[in-house]
Amino acid sequence: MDKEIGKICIPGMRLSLSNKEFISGPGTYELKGYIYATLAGILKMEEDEKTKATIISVESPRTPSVLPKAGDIVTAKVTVVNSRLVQCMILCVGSSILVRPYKGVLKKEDIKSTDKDRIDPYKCFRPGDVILARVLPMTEIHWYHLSTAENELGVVIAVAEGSPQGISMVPISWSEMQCPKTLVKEPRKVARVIPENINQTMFKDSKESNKESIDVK
Amino acid sequence: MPLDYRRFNGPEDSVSYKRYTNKYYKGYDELYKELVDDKGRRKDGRALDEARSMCMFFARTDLISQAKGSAYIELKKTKVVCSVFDPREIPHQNEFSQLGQLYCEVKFAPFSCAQQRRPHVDAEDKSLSVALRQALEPTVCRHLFPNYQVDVFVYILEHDGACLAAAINAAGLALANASVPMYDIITSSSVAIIGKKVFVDPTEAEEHLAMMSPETEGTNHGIITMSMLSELKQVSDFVQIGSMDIECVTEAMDILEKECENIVPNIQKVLVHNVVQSFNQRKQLEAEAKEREIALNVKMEEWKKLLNAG
Amino acid sequence: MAEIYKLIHPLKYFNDYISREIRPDGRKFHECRNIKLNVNSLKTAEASAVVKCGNTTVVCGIQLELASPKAEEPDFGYLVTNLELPALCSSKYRPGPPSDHAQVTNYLVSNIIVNSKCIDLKDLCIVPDKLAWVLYCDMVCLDNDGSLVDACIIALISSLKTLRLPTVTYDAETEDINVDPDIRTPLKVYGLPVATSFSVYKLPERDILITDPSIYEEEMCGGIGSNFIVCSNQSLLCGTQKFGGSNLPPESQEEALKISRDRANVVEKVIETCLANNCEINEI
Repeated sequence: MDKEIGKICIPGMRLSLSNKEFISGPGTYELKGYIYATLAGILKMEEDEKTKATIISVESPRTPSVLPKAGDIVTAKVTVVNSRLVQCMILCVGSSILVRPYKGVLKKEDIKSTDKDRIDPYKCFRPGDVILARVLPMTEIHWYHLSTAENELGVVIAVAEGSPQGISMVPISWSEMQCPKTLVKEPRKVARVIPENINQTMFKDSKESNKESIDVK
Repeated sequence: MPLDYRRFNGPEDSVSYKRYTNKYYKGYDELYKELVDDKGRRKDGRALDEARSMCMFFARTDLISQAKGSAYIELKKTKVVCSVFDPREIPHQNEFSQLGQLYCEVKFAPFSCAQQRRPHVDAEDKSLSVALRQALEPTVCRHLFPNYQVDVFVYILEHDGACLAAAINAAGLALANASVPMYDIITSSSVAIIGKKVFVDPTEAEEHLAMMSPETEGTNHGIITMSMLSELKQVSDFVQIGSMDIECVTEAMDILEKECENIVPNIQKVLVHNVVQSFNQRKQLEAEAKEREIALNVKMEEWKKLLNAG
Repeated sequence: MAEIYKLIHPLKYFNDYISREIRPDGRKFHECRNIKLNVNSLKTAEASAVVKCGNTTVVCGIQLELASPKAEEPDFGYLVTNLELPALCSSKYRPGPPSDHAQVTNYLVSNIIVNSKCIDLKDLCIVPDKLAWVLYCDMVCLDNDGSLVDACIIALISSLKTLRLPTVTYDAETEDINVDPDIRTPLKVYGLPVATSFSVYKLPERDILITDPSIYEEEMCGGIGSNFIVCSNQSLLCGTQKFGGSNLPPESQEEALKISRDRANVVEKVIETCLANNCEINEI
């Protein structure tokens, strides 16, 4: 049984020497020249391509209780939009789900990378939208600063005003989305989602229309 | 005591029926005689230096579905539940703090002791909570969640001695179960000292007597609880109540160190079992998801064909 | 992946399941979770029960005290029931005094016990106007995964059924009280109230009734706690509560009453089997 899973580690277990060949990775710490585990999970040894050193890390069966770090891509839900900033709740970090949502704030100038002085948050986000954003260094207690100033970041799921819950709009350009049912068009800061990453279940309803647009191209 | 309007209150003058039984009032000597029989065995059949951890220790994790991590520990009659939640914002905090905080709360169930406990937070709950926090702080990698706090809740269902030690053991297990980064496994044990006798892992009756001051002065009496990080060989918390001489304390520390180490394999076993179980579970889920994905892809191909045809 | 979907598209995720006539945990609409029951596992309480309905866990312990009866009701004893929802049972509760939800549930449980008349408070009186039993029944929820009231009632009733009162002798002249804990008589429990929780979910076309909802389902159906609680005591209704704004068609109500009656039979069997096993163990 154990062989199928791999080497099991528990907190405080001494894993290896810490030197040029072995580097401490996530889920481990260094003390007095040794690497120890901090999580209960499975030992992972990976070789770094540049330095040829082995990175020792421990993979936990659950999402480790750590917080979003600067540079991480997060999925968030917009809660408040005003003329200066957008507030949201961070739901996922990368592909791991947070049990407790954390507060994030997106300032007006961080929404787009171009035309910074003419950004209107109302034309980019609406409360309830699900967005992808990058975490900026933390400067305020309890608020994560976010940025969507990249083509791949912005709104991924949104529901048009007046359409029934559960029917999300389809992007038609980088600044507009359309509801497939009511055909209402609304302005958004749309994220260019890389097709491989599209979660098929997530877009089950809009699959057909999506594919049509791909086919047209 | 002010009336609690949020709960149903009984009559103010009610007293436990045990007060009216024949066996209620007992002298010190009588109680003392009850603890150990002629052969040096304790009431529950243990030797003086035998902890409950060997045969009566029971622990498991993943008890509470709503919590990130949870643990349950049973030392014969002492029963403790612990749950740990993900980091959350520290309420009413204005300053930036580099280290995350632990919020610990120890609560006794109203029916956990022989006398009914009123559901208010009393001094004992608070002091146990503080002791638990201090014991856990050195073992958690607090620098990984600055400005946030991890909640650790301990609920004592039944109290039969050594509840702080049980709470620390349960909390350590629950933290590891919740994947909160930790420097080491934490274990804890306690002893009660009455005169020359050292009761390892005491029961409630033994603790009660150890806290009573005997009539002859200068006798050692009291309770010591110690928690240790096993791999790093560090003492994270040491609480001594009562009066005793220094030799007695150093002697007790040696015993406690050994006891703490005895518990480690128990905790390790539970954790390893837990990891194996969750990975097997995940594997199964992944296999199911893969099946579904394949089915979905087949459907997708069909759709594509239809689209191309039409 | 499903977890992420659930988080980002909560409504659609739930709709997808419900419209296919199945619940996210794989149950049918009217399938109840397994009940696990254990009595007298706590030794510090006079009587106790631990019940698990699915993941929902409730521990009940009874402690006995003596007091003089109220002046206005000299031949009545006391039955004090309290429900604790400590912060450890769900991430939604905060440490501190009982929340509104805890108080409401507490009131509901005590109401069901009082109204079903399963305990005659006169049985708890020892000497009228002088001495009466006080039963402190404390329920503690260790894991709140929905249908809390159901679990509380099962825990409370099974511990009441195992309770055995010590004999008390009261000297009228000297007012001396003497209790002999070795000779005990079981407390009479009349009937057996069983609560069944339902949630009402609104699909665009129709309303759907869900039996024994988990906390996630309760949340999806609008807010904290179940929408609809039916409590029957041996095929007699002894309390029906309907919360929330969603409307309930009369057909669903009849269906709910029928389901609750069936469930009461099942629960009764569970309790009886458990108590019978417990008696056997005691005899050995």
